[in-house]
Amino acid sequence: MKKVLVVEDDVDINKALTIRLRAAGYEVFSAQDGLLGTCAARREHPDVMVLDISMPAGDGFSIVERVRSIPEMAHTPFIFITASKKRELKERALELGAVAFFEKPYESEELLTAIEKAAA
Amino acid sequence: MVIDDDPDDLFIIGDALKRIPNLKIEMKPFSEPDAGLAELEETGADLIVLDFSIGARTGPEVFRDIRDAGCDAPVILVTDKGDETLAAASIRMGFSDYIPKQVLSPDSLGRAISNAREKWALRKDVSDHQQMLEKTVADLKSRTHEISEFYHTLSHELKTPLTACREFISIVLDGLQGEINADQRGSLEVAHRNCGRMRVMINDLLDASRLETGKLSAQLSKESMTILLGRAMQNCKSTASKKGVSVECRVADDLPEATVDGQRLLQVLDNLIDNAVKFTEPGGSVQIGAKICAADAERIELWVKDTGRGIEPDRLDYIFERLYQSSEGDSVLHGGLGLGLNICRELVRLHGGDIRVESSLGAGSTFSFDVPVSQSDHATREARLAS
Repeated sequence: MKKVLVVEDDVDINKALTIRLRAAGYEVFSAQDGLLGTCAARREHPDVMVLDISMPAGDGFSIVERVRSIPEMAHTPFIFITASKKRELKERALELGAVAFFEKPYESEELLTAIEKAAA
Repeated sequence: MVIDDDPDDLFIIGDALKRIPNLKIEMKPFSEPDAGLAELEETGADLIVLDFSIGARTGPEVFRDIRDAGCDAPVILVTDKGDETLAAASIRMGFSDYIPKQVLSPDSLGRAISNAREKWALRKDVSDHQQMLEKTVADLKSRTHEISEFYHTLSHELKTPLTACREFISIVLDGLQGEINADQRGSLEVAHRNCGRMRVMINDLLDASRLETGKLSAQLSKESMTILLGRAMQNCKSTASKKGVSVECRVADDLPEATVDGQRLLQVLDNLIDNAVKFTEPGGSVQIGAKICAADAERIELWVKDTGRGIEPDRLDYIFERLYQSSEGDSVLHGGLGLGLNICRELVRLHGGDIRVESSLGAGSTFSFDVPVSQSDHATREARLAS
């Protein structure tokens, strides 16, 4: 079973993502801030990370930067979801190597397809 | 203050000043410019009468020192000889007036002082207004920035709960938490559709604000109009078929790819098609298409034509303005913020194009817009943006 880490500070969106991903057959770990997200990534070594950008205790970008130094996670694919329309966020996400970038409210089907592709 | 190195002239000017009717004056005579300037810095002056030639220095030099000292009082230049060129030059330099000494009298000096004070008051008035305008412009810019930031925060804050609503509705609709019956599905579909409407409005609000503050720019790449219109057809399929409005697409065969922001042009098309379907009765039709502009082979024209109710002629001029609704009842009947067509116009302009509408009541409307095939002519585009 592929592991997906969801880091999203909005409890409801976090829960919705977890329900949807579990239903799609993934093992899901979730965290609600940058720091706990980084810890969960180090502990679980997920196959894919789904990350919110603006969060307390470290944004989504910082999680990627912190976990990249772990050899097992150097190439873990990650996807960003954000409510912001700021273009610079998307640019930074792509520079960091994000496999996909979604604006909230996202289309669940598109997000699932991107996760499936990244986990393959 | 009078500055003149000739004691006789100082006396003559002083005497003339005393004899000017209705002028209360305290005269401070100086034969040395530096002493005069020191006094100016100390106590200031309401009016200065300055000799053209003061020892080794000239009146214009002393005049510059006066201004450099921060004194903006009117300065009248007096000279030994009358000279038209000198008169014109001194006025250009900023002197309030010019009097040759041979015509100096209480009358001429009184007139010069009165003119100088009036001119000074007017200039000060203009300068005060200018400063006020500059401050207002700066305040408005800062306010616009604040508003734009506010819209951004607002949309962020609205989108987060909206995402949660939409997701949980989808989870139940998709049967992830058990079977639902047809009535429950119907109700949830209404809720889901309305989440979509809210998303459009939030995005419109944000786009309008970003367009106004110039924060929205086109991300250009080569796009096929056939693919773009195909996506637009796909996007409107469900809404149009539910309403019983047919949509057809006509793309000219020889159409080249255009350098545009595909996402933004699709937004324009989606918006125009959505309106067309909204204002067309069941059984009516909408046609969308693209072709090379008849007047300019370097431009592509796209259009959305409907057989809907049409637009009143007196409203056509305002239809692309912000907060416009095609009739007062529309905001109630069809919803929306009245930003859609304004955003369309601004997005088309961002590409260096323009949008138009032709309509006759009861017979439908045609919205058309053009974009250049290539965006190499950046100067034109920037100029349009600036306008």
